[in-house]
Parts: sequence; structure tokens; C-alpha cells
Amino acid sequence: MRNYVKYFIFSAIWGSFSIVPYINSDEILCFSDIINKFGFSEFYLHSTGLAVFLQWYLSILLFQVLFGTFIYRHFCSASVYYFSRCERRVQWFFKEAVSLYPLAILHLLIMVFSGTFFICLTSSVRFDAGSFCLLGYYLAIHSLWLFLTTILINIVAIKIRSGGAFVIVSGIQIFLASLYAYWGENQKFDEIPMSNRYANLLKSNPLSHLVLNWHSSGIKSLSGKIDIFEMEFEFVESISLYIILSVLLIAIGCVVVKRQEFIVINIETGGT
Amino acid sequence: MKLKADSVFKSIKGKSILSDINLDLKSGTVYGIVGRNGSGKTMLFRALSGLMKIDSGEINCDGNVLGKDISILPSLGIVLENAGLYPEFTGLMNLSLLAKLNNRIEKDDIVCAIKRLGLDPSDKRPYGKYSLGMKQRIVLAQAIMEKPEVIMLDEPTNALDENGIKDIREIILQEKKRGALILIASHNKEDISMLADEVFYMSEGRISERQ
Repeated sequence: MRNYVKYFIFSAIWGSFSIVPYINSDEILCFSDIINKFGFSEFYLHSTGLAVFLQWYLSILLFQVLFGTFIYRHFCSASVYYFSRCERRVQWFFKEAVSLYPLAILHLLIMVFSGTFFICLTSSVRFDAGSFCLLGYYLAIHSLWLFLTTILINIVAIKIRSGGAFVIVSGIQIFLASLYAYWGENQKFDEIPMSNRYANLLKSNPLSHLVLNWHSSGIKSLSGKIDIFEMEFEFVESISLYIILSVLLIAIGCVVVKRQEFIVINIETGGT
Repeated sequence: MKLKADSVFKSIKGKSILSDINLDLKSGTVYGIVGRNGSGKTMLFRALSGLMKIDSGEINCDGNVLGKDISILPSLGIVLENAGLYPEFTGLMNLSLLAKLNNRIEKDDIVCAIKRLGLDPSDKRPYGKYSLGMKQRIVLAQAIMEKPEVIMLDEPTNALDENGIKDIREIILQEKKRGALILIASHNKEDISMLADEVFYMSEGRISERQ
């Protein structure tokens, strides 16, 4: 864990960099607006909005790059010496996977607070009611997505090495994002309130759960900040989906790790 | 400690790499494995250690069947050709990370093992920057640091100078005296003749001769 502390410098830099367009603003920014920005809420459902989505998605890709070999690195050049000492591989994998989750939360927190600090240097920030509630949802949803996609990269890397794993998982994410460009051309997605049929279609894309202001909530302090499509889309729904996917991935990972044989030396990290 | 292999077979992509391997090994003995490149020496080590599953047969360690009762040999020190350590960590950091998996030894034991192999534990260079000889010494240190009951050494004197070879041979004899069961695969006939109590000759995945 200590070896990864330096990686969070990138989180801080990215968090500050993302917020550059909002510094020197004459208006007083609310903390909830800052969280909304990190929560993809500037993204609008149109083909031209895709660039905005991908711009904010870079923070997720950054974490995947930094931690995409968090577990897989043990399957590289030192695999023989590492796993000849590891009697319970399934328990080991579970422990490693669980230890990745706090790193995901830390990455998000550092980004948000470095961005907020950066704005505070030039403008004023108001910590409005409901902002910490929104922060909680942001951390819960985005950390789970970071966690499950990064675990997926690690698992795929064990089977086909890291380069292929990054290409596959990034490819899936870009494909899912590009669906928005296609949907953006369909007027039915602009209707407010959005019909159930289109709302369900939108929710079927796992990336939609990352967009904070598409969610609905009974919390009064969040009114006006979220629920732009006025559709039934609870935060709990997104959290539950990501938890289920995470559990499923961990189970798959346990099987992959248990079955993994060390027939050839993987010298991917160039350690020999 | 007794390590037994009964009719062990393993094939990869239809090609037989281990065929009808039968061994009865006991502690306090050095066994030499001799054979050409590709004869199956390294694969035998992988199978006996539990790093590779076998297709049929049984490997038994003190009554525990490998792959059923235990997943890997419970007290094993292994060196395999081309296997390395974490390139970004120093030798001491590498060995500490590996030792942490079982928590059987303290930092002093790691330092002692590194010194035994003639290296400086306080060397700040990462493993990736080590010379080939230093890399070989540090992986040998990881193999003996936990005083394992079984030691498997694949070409242990590779990349070592004369003094290094002498040191390794001495260490192997000390480990034998301690009671370890030692398997050595080597091209170096001198290593085998000087150290091994029993020699197995391998060819095309089979043990063709015993001496």
C-alpha cells in the first residue's frame, strides 16, 4: 500500500487540472456543483456531449492505468517465488481485491478535494446542504465502478497479459460511452419526464449509473441538483448493481487465480 | 519429510512433457537431475512443487496429496531458470515481501540469507539493475531464507563466477546437513558429481536412468 502513495500525486494533479475552467469564476461555487462536475453531470445526451463524457472519464482511466496491475504484477516475473509461498490463493486474491477498494475511494477523495482547494485559491466555495450527501453517493458509486473495472483488468491480464487486458476493458468502456452518441440522436431521450422504456434503456448502460444528476432522490437538499430527466433512478439502484457486479467479478477472479498454472515464466515486467 | 511421485503424467497441447515419473525422495539427501534442454527437468520441478497441475498420477508429501490435501509443498524453497523478482524493489525489499506471505521469519533471517550469498542487504539498487550473477545470488537467498524442508534448484550455478559457484556448493552441503531434501537440475556435471547422492537422468519427459 505504501508503495502506491506516490501514485496519488497523479490523482491530485488530475483533480486540479479538471477544475481549471472554473477558477477565477465571479460566482460563488457550491461544493455540490463541484461534486456534480466530477460526477459527469456536465455531460448531456447528444453526440457532441460524448467528448465531455470522455474528458471526465479520463479520471477513471487514470486509476485503471495506475492500478491495473495491482494484483496481476504478482503473476509476472516473480510469480514462481511468490506463489510457491502462497498456500491459499483464493483467500489471497480476496484480500488483495478488498485492499484495492480503499485506494479507489482515496483516488476520488484526493481528486475532489484537490480540485476544491484549487478553486478556493481564486474563488469562493460554499459548502451547501446536501453536498456531503452527494459526495457520499459520488464516492460509493464511482469507487465501486473504479474497483470493478480495475479488478476486471487484473483478471483479464492474468489470462492474456496486461496490454490485451487494457485494450479489452477500455474498448468495452468506449463502446458503452459511444452508445450515448447514438442515443443522443434519438429525440425520445430528451423528453421530460423520460418514458419508462427509454429510462430503462438508458439505465441498461452501466456507465449511466456514473452520471450523478440523472439520479433521483427523496432527499430534499439535493433537489435542483439532480434528477434532470425526472425518471425513477435511485442511487441505491446504482450502488446495488455495482456491488453485484463486483461480487461476481471477485468470484470469477477466485476461480481464475485458483486454476492458474505456472507453466511458463511471465517476464512481462522484465525482472529476469 | 518424504516426497513421492507415482506414475506422474503431464502433457501440454497434446505434447507429453512428463511421462510415468516415479520418485521416492527423502530428507537429508541431494538428488541430481540431469538431462538436455527440454528434457523436462524444469517441468518436473513445477509439478513436484505444485506450481503446475498434473494430468494423472499422484504426488505425495508426508501423506498429503498435492492438488487435493495441499495446493503447494508447505515448506519449499525454489529457484527456476529465468524466474526473477520484482524489478523495482531492492533485494531486501523483494525478500521481505516474499517472507511476509508466510510470516515464518524475521528481518534478521532475511539479512542473514542475503549475506550468506555474499550480497549486501543494504544495497539500495533495485533488482532490475542487478548483474546476472547478483540476480542469481538473490534468488538463491530467497530459496534458503526460510530454511525450507524441500529445496529445488534449477541451474543454481548459472551466471556465477568461480567464487560464487564455490559458495553455492558449500551452502547446498550445509542445507543437506540441516536435513533438507534437495533437488538440483544442472548442466554442470561437476555440480552433480560433487553434490548429488543420487542422480536421475531425464529424456523426453521420462526418467531414463538412475544412479
